[in-house]
Amino acid sequence: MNDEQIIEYLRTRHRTHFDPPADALASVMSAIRDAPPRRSLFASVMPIAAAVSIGLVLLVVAIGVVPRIGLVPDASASPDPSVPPTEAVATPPVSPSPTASVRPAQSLVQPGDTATLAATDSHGEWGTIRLERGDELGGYPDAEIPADTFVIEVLVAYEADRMPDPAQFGTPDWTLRPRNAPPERFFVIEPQEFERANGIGLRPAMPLGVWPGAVDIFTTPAEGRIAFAVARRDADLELELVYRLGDEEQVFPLRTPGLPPEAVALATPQPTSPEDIAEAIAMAEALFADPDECANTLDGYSVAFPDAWYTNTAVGDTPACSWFTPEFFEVAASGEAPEGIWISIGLVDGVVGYTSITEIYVNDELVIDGRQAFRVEYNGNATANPDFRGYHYVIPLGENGPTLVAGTSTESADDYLLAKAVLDRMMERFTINR
Amino acid sequence: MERARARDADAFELLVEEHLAGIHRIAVAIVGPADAMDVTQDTFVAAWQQLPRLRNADAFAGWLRRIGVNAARQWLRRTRRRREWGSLEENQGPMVDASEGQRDFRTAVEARALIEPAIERLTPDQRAILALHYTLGYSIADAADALDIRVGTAKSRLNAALRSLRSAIDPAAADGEAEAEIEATS
Repeated sequence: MNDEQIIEYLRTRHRTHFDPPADALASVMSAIRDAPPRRSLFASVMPIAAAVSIGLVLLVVAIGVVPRIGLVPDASASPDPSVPPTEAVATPPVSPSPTASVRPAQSLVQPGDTATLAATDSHGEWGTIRLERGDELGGYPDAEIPADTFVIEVLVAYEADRMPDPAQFGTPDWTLRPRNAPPERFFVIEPQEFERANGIGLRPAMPLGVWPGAVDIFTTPAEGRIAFAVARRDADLELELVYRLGDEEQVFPLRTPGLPPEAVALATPQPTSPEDIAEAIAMAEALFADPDECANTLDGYSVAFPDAWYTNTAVGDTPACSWFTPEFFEVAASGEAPEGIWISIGLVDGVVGYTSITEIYVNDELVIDGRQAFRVEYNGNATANPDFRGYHYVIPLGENGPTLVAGTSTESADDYLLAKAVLDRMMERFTINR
Repeated sequence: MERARARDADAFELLVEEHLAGIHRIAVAIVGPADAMDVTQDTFVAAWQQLPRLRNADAFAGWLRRIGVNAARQWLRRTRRRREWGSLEENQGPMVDASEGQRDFRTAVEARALIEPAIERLTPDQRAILALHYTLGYSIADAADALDIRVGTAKSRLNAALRSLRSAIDPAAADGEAEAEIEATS
């Protein structure tokens, strides 16, 4: 199929559906009249958030109790309302009525500078907004920014003491503009997100989005980065960050005139090739031609794994069937995880989530042996190690836990793609006996 | 306009009536007919809520168009995140078996079967620029304005979108034809 055929198809695509349905006007006006109640999405989130936060856990993806896959149960329960992270709601920004007060002259000119605002709405103060000036970047090696611009990032963190009313807030409340610029050089820049060249994820990492968004991952506080692409020719201007809600605005000095950072070239992306994935899948399929099976009677599951691979017997506090790897390994008497484990399965007390510092590349819900579960591919610290990937299956076993987690990562597996493909097949054959 | 900005819903209804077809067309072109009304609705609700912020009433049409395009992109982004990782393996692998496709794509139905899955794989921004430029016939400059990006960025995004589409349909056939097409139509 050539380009001409593709373009011809695009030109005629959906044309017969262009006209709105007969009741479109009535439907739109009905939605408009219903709009205020619909904006309080946070209200529907709150019971879940409260349930999750009471006595439960948000897991920080870092190092872990589940060996080698980077999970740590955080025993500290958070009493604060949890709010969902980065995904923006479908509607563009709305104009919430909360207003904010700020101490004067809080400068954000230097990277690391912080400022705080007391966020208020018609019922009074609902929480705190903390700002932290980020770096100036000549670009992102993995995401294209507009030509002849540089980027200023700001971290915005909302910590709600209660549900704000109305509840939507986030990216659209922030803009950047020059301070004391002549009229012909005045401009207003809105925060931008830049799609990564490999099509997975955005820059800035963990963009702020519009809150509340998806409710599948709870974080406290709600936070994210906003990024402004500033023309390099405007580096000689003073710039200020503007927070606008309703008719009120708060202003923070953000940049003094000076040289912009050196431009960063877009590195050639090296996405995982379909061929590599296909090869890993084929290898995994072959490994499962005649699988072995093991059981962890303590935690209550059994799983099939490649006949050519190895797993552990029960040692110390470590139950059998916890670790899987292609090479033979011995478990120390202490039960400590040996080197070279590709896949780990373990039971974690409490509920598992992923903090907002984490970049999520995969997040989907599925059913494993009749139970709701989810699968996540993540990077816990993409700034420090953009190449890291962790891949987890998470199976909640009760409202308050415990949670079964099975996972691998680029750091634990010599062949991450193969480990993922094997894990996928293990989870297809996973049985919970509890 | 002034009455609408003063929260007069009846006045706003006149604006909705005037711009409904245009916004619905944008929504259909970007997200498809099944979800176009949701995006259309989101667009006007957002416009209603943001209208007091609009400083220049004369800019309403362009402003509304941007909201519509943004609502459609956001919708794609949101639904894509839910759907695209249903099977990571599938999504990272070739969407279409080109050797099969090359034998059979001659009819429109088969072309649809070949191209639609490939379109699904594009990023929201790529889908938006293809829809604006080819399906709705916007010039590159108008598409850039609707997407709030520079013309150069729009051109390169269009190139990338066509390239992605082509390679998803038939990796072997990826060549430079798209760039010539963009030059010819911009």
